[in-house]
Amino acid sequence: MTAREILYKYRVIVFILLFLLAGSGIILYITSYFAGLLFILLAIIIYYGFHFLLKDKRIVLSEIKSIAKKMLIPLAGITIAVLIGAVVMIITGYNPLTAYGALFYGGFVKNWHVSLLNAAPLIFTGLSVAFAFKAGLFNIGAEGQYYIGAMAAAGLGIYFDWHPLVTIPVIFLAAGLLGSLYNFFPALLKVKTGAHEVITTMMFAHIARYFSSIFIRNFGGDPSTSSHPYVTDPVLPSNWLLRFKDMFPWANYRLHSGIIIAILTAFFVHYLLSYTRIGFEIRAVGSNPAAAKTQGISTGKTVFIALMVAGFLSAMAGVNQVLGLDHKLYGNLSTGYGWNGISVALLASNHPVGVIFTSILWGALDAGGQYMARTQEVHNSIVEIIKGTVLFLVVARYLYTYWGQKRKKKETCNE
Amino acid sequence: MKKYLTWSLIFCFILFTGTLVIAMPQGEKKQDNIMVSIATDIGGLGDKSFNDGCYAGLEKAKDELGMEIKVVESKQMTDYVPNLSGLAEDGSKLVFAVGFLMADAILESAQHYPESYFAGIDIWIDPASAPKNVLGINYKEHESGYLAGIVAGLLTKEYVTISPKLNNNNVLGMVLGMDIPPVERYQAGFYAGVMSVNPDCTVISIVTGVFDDQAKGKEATFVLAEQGADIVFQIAGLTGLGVINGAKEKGIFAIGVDVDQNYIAPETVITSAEKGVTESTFLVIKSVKEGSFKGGQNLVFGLNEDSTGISPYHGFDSVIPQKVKDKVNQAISDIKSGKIVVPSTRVEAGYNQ
Repeated sequence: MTAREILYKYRVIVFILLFLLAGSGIILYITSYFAGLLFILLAIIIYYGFHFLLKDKRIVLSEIKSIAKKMLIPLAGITIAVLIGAVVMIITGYNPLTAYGALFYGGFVKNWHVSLLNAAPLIFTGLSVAFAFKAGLFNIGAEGQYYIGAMAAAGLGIYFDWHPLVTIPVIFLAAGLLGSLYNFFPALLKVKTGAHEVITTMMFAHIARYFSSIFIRNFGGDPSTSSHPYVTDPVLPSNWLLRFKDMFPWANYRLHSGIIIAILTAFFVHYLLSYTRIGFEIRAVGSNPAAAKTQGISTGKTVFIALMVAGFLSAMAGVNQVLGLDHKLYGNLSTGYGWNGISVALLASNHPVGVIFTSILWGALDAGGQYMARTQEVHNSIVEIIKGTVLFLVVARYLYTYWGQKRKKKETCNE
Repeated sequence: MKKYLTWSLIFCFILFTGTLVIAMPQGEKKQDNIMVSIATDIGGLGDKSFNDGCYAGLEKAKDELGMEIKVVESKQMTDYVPNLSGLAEDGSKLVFAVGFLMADAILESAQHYPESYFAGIDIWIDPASAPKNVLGINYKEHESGYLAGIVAGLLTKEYVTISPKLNNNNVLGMVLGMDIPPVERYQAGFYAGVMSVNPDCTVISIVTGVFDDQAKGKEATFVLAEQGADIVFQIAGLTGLGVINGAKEKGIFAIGVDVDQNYIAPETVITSAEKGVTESTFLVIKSVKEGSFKGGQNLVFGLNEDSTGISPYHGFDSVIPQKVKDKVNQAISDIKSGKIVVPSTRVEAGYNQ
């Protein structure tokens, strides 16, 4: 019996082992142990190795190649940005090696839980932007829908007093629907009058943001009467999202199940976009509205659905933050998850699953940047420089295609 | 294409393993000195008032007590807890949270890091429920505001002749950051001070809602100047720098806050309503060094502790009439003896706008 046959015979056991490895890896990873990632990576490598041995090698190779190709531009962007950051640090008199060491150690190992906490709302807003992008729309006002969701969660969370299994889905749903409703008007304007959604959603974002301070005053944060001005009353403890510490005693006490909801939502959005009729219509309208129209797809309806779903997803970010982490809504909160969601979506080239990774990267850069600032006394604006450069290089991917075409032209001319 | 791909992948791999290798030995460094640290709010250092005042206290401790110091600025609200906890994790014996808005964060961190001490400046803790390693440091800002109010109230009406920058409108302005208790105390005290010497003065307040936006401060100052104000009292942190610059531009006077801000614009800032953040920070650090730190309570610093008051007039010392100075000194001794009780809220001061 060859090795291949033995493997084939025991493939069920191997798959169970893989499943356990990946599962425990995910649990460890999500409960703030970075080592969990190594488990997952190991599982992926074994999986591909297994396929490589048992199945057609060419298929596996081309699969790996296509993934690598998709990751090429973001990875190259990150590398160049890191180098530029290093140059800035050398010029300003810091040691880039120790600083990057601290950035990495802080973001991925020591303060990994902070990275995850930062990532969860970014996944939602990133998905929101990516979803709208697929329909060719720029949902720049994710920040506003985030505030709507946060306000809804804070308002409902104070009053709803049922079983958490009832209240939490109800709050998510209600806040999400409010977020969709908030995007209804921009969508209506877009379909009926052609008003550009960049302008309308952005203005709506400002409205929501400044409305939140009025909201906070009316929910217990009035500066002239309250003992805690600029903060709403806390959400009832029964409405808090489940904390990992309750299940896994080793987990960091702040981590909550929002990250899992976020990741599941990302996969659901991926399914929605790739395997359903409405997803197909959205992609069709996004890539060529005129062609979609001739094929009998209603552009207006698709635009509506895309923007409403985008609003729903952004609002979920707000719920996640209020029910999971803060348990109240703070005034003057300038977290910018909505704006950062745009970056995250662009970096993932609007792929819903890619958004998970880019959000975690963004969150880790923020967490690691604070750690770096604290331990190495390097100003964490370096992190912003890196972020900006990465984004620029990724968005400028058309430049690469431009160069590629130019070179090809040259080659054909020479021939 | 293939070549580029392989190379970039290899490069990234090297880079990441490299950082991992570098990151690993970063364990605990042994410290000989006690470490104290501060985590500031958004905006943070460079406001030339509140936050910088606290940092000055740390630097004093470094020079005089040989402490190791560390400072970190919060970039966004979600950084509060990670920063405070992180400083405690890094081995800080005492962590300062600077700013009223960090109240929730300091309680949360203190609960999870019982081996470090935490002190919240401008944070009022509830002694019954708070952990025993948290100390609240508060000030009687209304006393400083009262004294500044006396100066402003007298200058804007009785002594308009001393400077061309003053006018006959009998209007004073205040620019507030956020409407939080320490700011309200300044506001109420200032109003009471003005009313005690100049009852028919109009005092206009503008709440900018932010502590870190100089442009908004400037804008508010212009509005006040247009409404006839000739002295503007700023209680707005970094926003207040915009107020002082705006007053300079408009040719009116300003009153600084928290620390002596005359050096920012010597021709504009007549005096500053101070609170001794530097001194009290230093005192708390000293108590940690001596082992006499006692948490689970609030410390309140006022005139009796020489912690509140107004700063010297500097260039205006010769301009400001002796009668004003006498009135201020009289008020100081009256407050100290308890003859005057300065209101600490708008309601008590009867200030409704």
